Amino acid sequence: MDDLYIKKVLNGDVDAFRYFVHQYKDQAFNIALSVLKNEFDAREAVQEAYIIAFRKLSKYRGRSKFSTWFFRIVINESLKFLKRNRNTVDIESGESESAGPGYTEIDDILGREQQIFFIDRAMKRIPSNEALVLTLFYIQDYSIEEIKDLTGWTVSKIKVLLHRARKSMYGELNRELSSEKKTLY
Amino acid sequence: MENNNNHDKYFRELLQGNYREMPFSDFEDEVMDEVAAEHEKKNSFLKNIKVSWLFFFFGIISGIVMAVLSTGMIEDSGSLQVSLVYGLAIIFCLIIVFLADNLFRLSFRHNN
Repeated sequence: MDDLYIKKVLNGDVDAFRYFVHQYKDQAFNIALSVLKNEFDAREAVQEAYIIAFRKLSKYRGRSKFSTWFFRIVINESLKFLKRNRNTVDIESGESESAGPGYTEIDDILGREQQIFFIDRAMKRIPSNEALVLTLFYIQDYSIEEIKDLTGWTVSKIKVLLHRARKSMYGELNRELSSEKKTLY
Repeated sequence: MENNNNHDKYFRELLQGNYREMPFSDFEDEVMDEVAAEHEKKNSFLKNIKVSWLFFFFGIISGIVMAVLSTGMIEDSGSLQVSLVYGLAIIFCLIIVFLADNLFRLSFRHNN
């Protein structure tokens, strides 16, 4: 389906590009949000990524899926955006060392909506590269090999980041739960 | 190993609730507006390159015609004027090379 619309756009049908905007905007937004932690910045990065994709569509050779090619642009744009606004979150900032709660504990304490709220907050607090790898692996269901293609990182770096990211998430959730418990009791 | 898989499964369930839809309803339209503007810009750029090549060749032809005409007039005059014409011809050639180089670069970069 993607190939058909790529041909249409390359033949001058600009409106056909709307298919890609509609199809991939949510996934792209989630990826950008995991890096940038801010909805407005994520929107801007995704918008810029779409313009770049449109500009460079003639260079897309079809070696990887269109989505992989496009999300690579989204990641690059988000990282560029992050570099420009370095004061927000440091991509290589240190990991959280605190031991996390067991997952049964998270389920016991929180309802589903609260879970989403706290996970969202925790995702915003962990380093951008960890949040990105969690989003790609657990939310977007990409394999480690696919993440390697998307980010250009090595397999071992991705595995280390995933491990660190899980630890950081548990650490952040633990902190959230501790403060929640204090408020409750 | 199994523990790891459970861990992954649980994490996946936990995080998938965090999947967000684009919260800006005007996003699609705004992107399409920018894409249309980009398309327009690209078209006018292509048109400008064509016009530039046209004027470039027009300039070369006019230059050659002027040079041929002026050579006929200069044959009757002194050696000082001849060297002046050669000097101007060299400047003319350098300008052609410079403009051709710029135009080639612009057209080539665009094609890439």
